[in-house]
Amino acid sequence: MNKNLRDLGVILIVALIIWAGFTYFSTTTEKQDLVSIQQEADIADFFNKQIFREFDSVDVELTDSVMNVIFERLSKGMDTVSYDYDIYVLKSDQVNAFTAFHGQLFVFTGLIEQTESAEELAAVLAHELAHAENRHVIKNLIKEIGLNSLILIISGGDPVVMQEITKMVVSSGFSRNMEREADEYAIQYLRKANINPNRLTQFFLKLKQKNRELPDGFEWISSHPALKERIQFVTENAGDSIVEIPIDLDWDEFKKSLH
Amino acid sequence: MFILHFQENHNFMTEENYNPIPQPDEIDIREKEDAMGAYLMMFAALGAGLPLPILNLVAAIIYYYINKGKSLFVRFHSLQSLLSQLPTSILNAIAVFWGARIVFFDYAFTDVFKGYLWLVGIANLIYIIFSIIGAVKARKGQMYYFLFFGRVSYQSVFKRREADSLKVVNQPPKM
Repeated sequence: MNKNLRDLGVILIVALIIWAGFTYFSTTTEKQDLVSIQQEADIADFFNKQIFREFDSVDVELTDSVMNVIFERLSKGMDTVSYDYDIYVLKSDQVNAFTAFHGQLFVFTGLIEQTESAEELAAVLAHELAHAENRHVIKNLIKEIGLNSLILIISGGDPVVMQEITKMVVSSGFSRNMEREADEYAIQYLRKANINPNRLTQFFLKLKQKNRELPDGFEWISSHPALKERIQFVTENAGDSIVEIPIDLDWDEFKKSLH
Repeated sequence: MFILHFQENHNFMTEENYNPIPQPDEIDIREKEDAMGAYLMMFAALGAGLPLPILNLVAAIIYYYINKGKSLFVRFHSLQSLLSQLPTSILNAIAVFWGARIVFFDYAFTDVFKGYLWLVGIANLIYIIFSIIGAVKARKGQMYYFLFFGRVSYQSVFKRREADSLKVVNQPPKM
């Protein structure tokens, strides 16, 4: 009987060592950092060309000053600023904003139309900045198509495949975890930058009215966490109300100038 | 030294309580094939039951109960095969449910899960290798003891029971 217990113990210990050992030496987390900042910059060059081929951008001189004011404010709330951020405005009716590679953020005019104040856009940008700071785009791509094929495609620059990747990045299909993480960071950024995090909720509510969502019950199947869930999350985690310092911009004037 | 002696004696004493182990030439071909089948059938079921690894456990239990009444040799190999696939099936079942949570409910694909998948893979590999060896040995009419499971099965199958010693002796009718 004692020998049985001893053997069982040996089996259990060996199993635990295998589990712990492979957990410790797993490379999931490191692998995502295999794309260096320099490589990501190269990818960004290719990608930007592709984007500007597909979309018209609003004159950078017109938007740059405005975006800089908003970014300056947000950067006060960020613990780390990993990239030289560029924020472009693209002409399109889509209510969308997305993060591309190497700190390149894109906002559609359709989304700016929907915002009522600079703070609301700041909330959206905070969310996108959080995606960028956490390198979600590159992590996502590696998860979808693998590191080797990513580098191969980028260096080859096959137009058809690039188009597919562009589509993927523009539609920003992040996992629930990533969206949640980005919302979490965005709340932090906004609070520290003296902008009410509920601006994000405000904008979500607007989105919700705008496009009818998947029917209830299908929420779990969609890769985007349903808006309802995100609104709830942000509202619950927004924390104590803070005194908002308005961003010094004439928002209506800016919106008019986009036309 | 005393303790060692005592243990040896003790072991010797307990072996008296076990039925004799059948030797290869005492086992007929039918028994050998049934014993081999215990291993082969169970990991055929392992493949069939992959989406829900609990299914092959059910199959293994049924096979064991069918063979239970046959000779001790067949029963030993069936039990060893059944017991040794228990941990593998449980590990597989957990892997499937854990994996499903990650795929369908978007839980994080963590290093802990990755390490677990390695464990499951290694456990399955060891199980399959030992099952093949077990099947070959059984076909030759040999006993083969897996680590832990071998001894447990032997103790369970070959142990003399009270009932065994109470032999029925036929008596003439009372005159």
